[in-house]
Amino acid sequence: MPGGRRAQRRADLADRRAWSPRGFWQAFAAPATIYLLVFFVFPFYVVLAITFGGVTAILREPMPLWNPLQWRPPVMAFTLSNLTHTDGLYYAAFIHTIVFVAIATGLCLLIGYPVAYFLARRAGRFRGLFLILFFAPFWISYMLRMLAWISLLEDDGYINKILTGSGILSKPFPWLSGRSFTLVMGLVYGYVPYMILPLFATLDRIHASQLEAGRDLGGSPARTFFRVTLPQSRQGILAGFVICGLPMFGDYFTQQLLANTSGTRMIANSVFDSLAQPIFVARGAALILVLLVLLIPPILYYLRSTNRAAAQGLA
Amino acid sequence: MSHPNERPHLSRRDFLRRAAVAGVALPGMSAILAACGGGAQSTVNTGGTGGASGSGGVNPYGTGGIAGADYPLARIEAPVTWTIQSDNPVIDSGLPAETGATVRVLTWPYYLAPSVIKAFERENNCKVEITEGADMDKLLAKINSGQSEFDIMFGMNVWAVGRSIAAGLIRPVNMDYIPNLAANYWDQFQSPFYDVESRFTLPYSLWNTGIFWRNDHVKADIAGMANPYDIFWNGAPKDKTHLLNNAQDLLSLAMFWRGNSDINNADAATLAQAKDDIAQVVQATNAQFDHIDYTDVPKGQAYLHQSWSGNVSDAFVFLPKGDQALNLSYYWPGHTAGVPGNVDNDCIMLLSGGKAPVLSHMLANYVMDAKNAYTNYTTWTGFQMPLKTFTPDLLVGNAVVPEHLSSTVVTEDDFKTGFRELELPTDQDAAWQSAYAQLEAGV
Repeated sequence: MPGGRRAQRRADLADRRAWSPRGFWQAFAAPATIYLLVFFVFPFYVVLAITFGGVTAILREPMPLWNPLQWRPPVMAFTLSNLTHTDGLYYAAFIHTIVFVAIATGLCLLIGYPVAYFLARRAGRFRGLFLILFFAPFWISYMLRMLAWISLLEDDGYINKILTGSGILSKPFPWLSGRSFTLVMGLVYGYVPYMILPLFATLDRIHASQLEAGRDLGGSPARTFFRVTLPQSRQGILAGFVICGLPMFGDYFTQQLLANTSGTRMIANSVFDSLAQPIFVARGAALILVLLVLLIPPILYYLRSTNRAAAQGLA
Repeated sequence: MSHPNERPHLSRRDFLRRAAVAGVALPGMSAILAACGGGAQSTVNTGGTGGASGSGGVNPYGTGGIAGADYPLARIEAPVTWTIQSDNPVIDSGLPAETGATVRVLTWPYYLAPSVIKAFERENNCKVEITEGADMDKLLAKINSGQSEFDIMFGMNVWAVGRSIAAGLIRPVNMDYIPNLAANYWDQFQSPFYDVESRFTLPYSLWNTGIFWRNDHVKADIAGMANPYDIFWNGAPKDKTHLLNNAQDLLSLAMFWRGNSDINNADAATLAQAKDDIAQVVQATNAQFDHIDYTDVPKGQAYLHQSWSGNVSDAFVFLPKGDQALNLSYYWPGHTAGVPGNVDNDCIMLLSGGKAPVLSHMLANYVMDAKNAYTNYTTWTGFQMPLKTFTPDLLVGNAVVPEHLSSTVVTEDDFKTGFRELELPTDQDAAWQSAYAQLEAGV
């Protein structure tokens, strides 16, 4: 019936107008969209244009090629080849990075979980105070904290003074002479708060009644932890791994300050050094692209896991 | 009925249509971006590491020199006279200083004494704004960006002089404003080989590259060795040996060790040998690459360091409490008969983008004044300037430099016996940088 369809159309129109003017809600995304375009999409395109670009003739600075039709692949091919061949320029640094980040993130979890558990479940009315005390050192910039580590670890630093003064060592130990151990400790110290925060948030949300139910059903404290607390904090652990581990992949500063030798070099050091040398800036840009691609799968896995947990009411 | 906020469905046809539009738009946008791109030049070399066209002889940028880049490469035996371009002329003589102006200075950290700058500001009723950078390439990039309109740079390496002039970044000097060059400076810097007639450059700091060590930990008599460089290959302390972190100083060390002084003309085999030699030191000692020798050695982070004399001359101020300057030693191997050593200088450059050309000429001349240069050296930089009055006797006698570190004072004779690290042809430079990158990466 034509009259009925017209009435229906009018009703639809009224329904739409009742929501908002056209584009009203979409406009709320404009600041974020502009921000992303200016600070992510455009810089990303610049990185691409530099990777596949050239070098100026006189100053030998990178010359981006804006037209994708003119892009040339040799630098990207060089980078991929040197990442994947065992005698490649970036291979050792890449392997170091994976190993150091894996160990450091694991240690962050081992250190961070008990701390987060204590803060969330056992700190009681002093929880706020403990939180402030624990995080106070991290209000100081990362660079200054790493410089403080140098003062602690240098030959006449406090650590060596204690170790030699107490007779444990006969002479100062060269902590800062390219030791993997020092580098990993530096990474753990620098990033452990990023593990604790999401863990704390997750553990804090676990309702006490669930733990009581576990115990009421005959579970020992350990069994209750492994069957109730740990599965429920899975999302916090994953978030901690992502927030803590991914920035470590881009960290060059800790290695530079605490363990600056080729034996402890990380992939971000290769990026940094390439960017410092004008003729090799394109190599640095190519490494950035490769790293970006490699880090996308774990991020996607985290997002998928979070969405699934949200659907199941676990996050 | 679909919800008004529901995402519109993108059909395959829509997708293909939009992709086609993007395909057309992207190259178009790229043209706009290319037009927006700045810089002093637009030639693109996509070969990966830059190419070189022939030069030497007569060239739009200058005459003399050798081939290997788009502009002449200066050599002692092939000096370069740079051409003053019509669009970048010398300023007229007798101009009054700009009033109420700010002189924008670019320099290295700890390279220009604040007291000297303050005095210049007071005397000339102007402001001096200093920007520092710790890397010559980054300093060049800052100048080339054209954003900060820098007036003058203190400390441009000689290897960067040619490319900066060719790129039009440098303002030619009007010597009428710089009487201190003729009055105070060594004769060899009145018309240096890298800039005949000093058309674009004024000399600033000098240094030699030698061996800096803590004699309470490294007991060898390095200065008395037939080849002092041997210490790096035989007797260098594990975990406590540091080398300079740049391609030319590092690889030249190995070439000098083998008695090869022709460091600006190394062939591929020589370069490969030098790289392997340095790798041997790194493997044996776990050596670090840096140029913070002035704190590394006094603080005991390094016991043996390849160093620049200017970093050593005042390193004793970084000694921990209770430690003594006598524990620090320095030696320039060029002082040993038959052993080559590096000696070099950098330059004061007036920049073409500056807005206070007269004041920047005046500032250069002010810093080149004998008294101000002495203050600059003794209170701040540690790198001496080539002044006739600066002799080891004066500097040691005045207790500016400890007697046992007098080897850090560079003399005119050192420039006769020492060897310079000059700008390399484009392809060779890329090869050196690649070798250095491999050493950094440990491959």
